[in-house]
Amino acid sequence: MNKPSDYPITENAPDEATGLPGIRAWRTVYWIVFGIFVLWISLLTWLTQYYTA
Amino acid sequence: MNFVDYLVLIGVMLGIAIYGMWRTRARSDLHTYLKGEGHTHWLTIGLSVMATQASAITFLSTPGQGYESGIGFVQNYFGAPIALIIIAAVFLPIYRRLKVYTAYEYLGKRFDSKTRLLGAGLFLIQRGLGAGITIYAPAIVLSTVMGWRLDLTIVSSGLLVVAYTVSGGSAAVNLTQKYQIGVIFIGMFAALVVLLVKLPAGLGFSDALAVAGGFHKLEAVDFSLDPNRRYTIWSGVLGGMFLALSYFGTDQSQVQRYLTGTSLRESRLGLMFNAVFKIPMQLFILLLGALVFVFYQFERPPVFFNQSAWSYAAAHGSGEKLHQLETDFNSAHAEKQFHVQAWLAARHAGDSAAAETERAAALTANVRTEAARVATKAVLRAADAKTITNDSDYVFITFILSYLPHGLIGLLVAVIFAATFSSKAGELNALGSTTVVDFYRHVIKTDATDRHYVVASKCFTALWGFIAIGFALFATLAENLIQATNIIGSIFYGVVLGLFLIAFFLKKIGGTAAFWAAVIAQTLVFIFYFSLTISYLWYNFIGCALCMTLSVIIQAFLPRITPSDAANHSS
Repeated sequence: MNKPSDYPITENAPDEATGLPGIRAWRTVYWIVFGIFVLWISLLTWLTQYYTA
Repeated sequence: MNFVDYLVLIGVMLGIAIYGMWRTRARSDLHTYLKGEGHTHWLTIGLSVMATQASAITFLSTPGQGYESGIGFVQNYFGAPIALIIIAAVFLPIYRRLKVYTAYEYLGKRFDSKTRLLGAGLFLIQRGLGAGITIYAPAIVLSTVMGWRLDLTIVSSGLLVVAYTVSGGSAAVNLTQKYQIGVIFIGMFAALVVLLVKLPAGLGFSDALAVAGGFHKLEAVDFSLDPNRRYTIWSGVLGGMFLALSYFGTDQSQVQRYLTGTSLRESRLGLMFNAVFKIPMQLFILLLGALVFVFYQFERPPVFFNQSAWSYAAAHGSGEKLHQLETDFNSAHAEKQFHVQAWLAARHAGDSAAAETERAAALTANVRTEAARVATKAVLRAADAKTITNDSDYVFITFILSYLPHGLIGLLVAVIFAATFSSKAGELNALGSTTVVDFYRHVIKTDATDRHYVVASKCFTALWGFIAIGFALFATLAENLIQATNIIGSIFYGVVLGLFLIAFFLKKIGGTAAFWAAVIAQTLVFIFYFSLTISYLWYNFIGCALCMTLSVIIQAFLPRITPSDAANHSS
């Protein structure tokens, strides 16, 4: 079985960098994606209420 | 369809398949055959993940859902973004670190061989069943509407996808999916443009939304706590999240797509691409269906969209009754059309009281059209008990064939085939890989050469293709097609996800406890499904929760896992 030490992946490893301008941590990427999700839910809730006769 | 449509259809489909085969020829080692070249860009991964999920059913059935029930089905996808974030953060690093070919290999490393085989077996059963539907669903609709032979449609489309999937493996699947999803986007956008252009003069997008909303087609979010309602925000976020966690995180047809990434970064971004675009994409398709509904308020639709079934019954003794019902339907529709136009005129004039009166009259007329449709379905069923009276899958294709210009019809039919091929290829690729890696190489022939396993992978991929084609040739479905697929998934996915969540988070649970918990939980889910009436999405949560809880209880009666076991397993 492969142990973690065989495949070192740390926060600083190149594989872990997001490569996105201005965003260093993956946690930030996840929060942005989650924020977009919340925006969609809000928009759809508004749509439902606006067009519910 | 005329010559131009067939030229577009055949040119697009054969072109993509042949290009995929040519570009990925001569894949001779197992790693490349199952995981591709290993330099797949995040956008290709993102599109590939999207294309694997978006089958032809999505483009035939989802607009039909929007037409009939409105856009509330979008709630089914509310759990997907959260699930994709969890997968990118937790599942993906472990899969990549262990360099597994299949997700179930991880279960073997964490637990034991029998649990790995159980996970892989459950995947093969549910995905094998789903694979038949994937190929059958578009074939039945297209053959009925176009007058093509069903068996020839199934066999010819099935063999083409088997050919390039077997030939090029994972790389061919990724490559062709990228172009197929491109065709899908172009085709669906073109359909929207034509639809908007074909709306009556003076009817803007805002008016169209008002009409759709007035007929309750824009109720996207339902906060009801009733567990028997099929789609609510709660079942969508919670049940949908478990469904998406299981599908994207443990279903090999998806895992194989994002494991082809050059790096963890590429795989993660591919998943985040889907987390961002999944809800708007489904909303767009549902909204297209709702707009088709608006369109048919100004153009008379057929009383029953599966016109072949209607014509068959009319020619076999039910003609008089059906024509009478059609007359009733047309009369009610004309009345509805009058009131909708009066409603819009009052709305434009700013007379809200008159607008409300006319809307109420239009809704009353709509009840009459629906009553005529229900009575028509009863006559069709009486004429032929085998008639499927759910015609929502025929709505969008009927609109395409009746109102789109030639050339574009060919492109939209190509969209349906492109979606069939892209999801089918992902499924076959995964079924072949799982059979070879988790069963053949693990249990039957453990010491063969790489070349031998590549040949075995090709043979098993082809075998699953033939099984899917065979299943499709003998299938019949009563459910709306997209729901049938989700129901099958929901019955199995919860338990499989439970196994993976135990593996990731419950370090003190061993293989024996996990195995028996999964077996008991799956049995209970079957019993619940056939005895309860709750929304099928809840079975994702129930199966997962049962599996995890039972594993803790069973483990309490078994010897403890030693700290060294736990340390090894957690890797």
